[in-house]
Amino acid sequence: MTASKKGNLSVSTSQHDADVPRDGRAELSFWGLWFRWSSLGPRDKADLIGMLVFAFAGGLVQGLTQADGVGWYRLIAPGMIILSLLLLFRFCRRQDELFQEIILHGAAGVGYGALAAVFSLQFFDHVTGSKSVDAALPVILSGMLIGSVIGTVRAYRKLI
Amino acid sequence: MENSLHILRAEKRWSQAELAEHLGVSRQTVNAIETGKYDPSLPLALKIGRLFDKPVERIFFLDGEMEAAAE
Repeated sequence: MTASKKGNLSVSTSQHDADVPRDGRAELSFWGLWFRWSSLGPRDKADLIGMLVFAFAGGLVQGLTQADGVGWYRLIAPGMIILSLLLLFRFCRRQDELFQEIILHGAAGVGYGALAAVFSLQFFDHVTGSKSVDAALPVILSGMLIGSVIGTVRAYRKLI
Repeated sequence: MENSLHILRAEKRWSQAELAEHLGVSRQTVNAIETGKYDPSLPLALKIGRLFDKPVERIFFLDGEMEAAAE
């Protein structure tokens, strides 16, 4: 009886510990495209918020300076995007192996998407005889995004 | 691969979240292992073995070998 009580007490304490969000235990939601916010620890949340802020600010600065000529401030937007990616990388490295495997599938999807976009552009140029250099960046970025979504969702559905 | 993780967890009367806490992984990872959707890495499998004080081959089985082991 005492042992049983001790056992229950132990489980109860452990349950309390398990309910406290810790860093590196992030859970995925929305088919792997976002994170269950309640599962994130303080550092995880800080990294994700920083990533979003830098990505948004980088996109905003890029949009505002696009019409201007060449200047040192043109480096601000890429710098912010790189910082955003570094925070995402740090966040992902802290997570457990299943999380990283799903993210790895997403990253592979980015590569496949970029390749598919480049080949599509080359095929389009070959067929029409034109040069689609101006449209190359948006098409490749779209390919990377679509590839990432497909890779992540497929891995999520398979593993979770 | 099959495993008896959910049985061992039930013996300890732990929830998936509690087991995840002991292993240092997320609850989703424990669920994925228990349902056989995800095979853990060797370090994590060894950690599970140590936690339940059993050799890894008594927890994880190749397909079709779990029933034979139970008999």
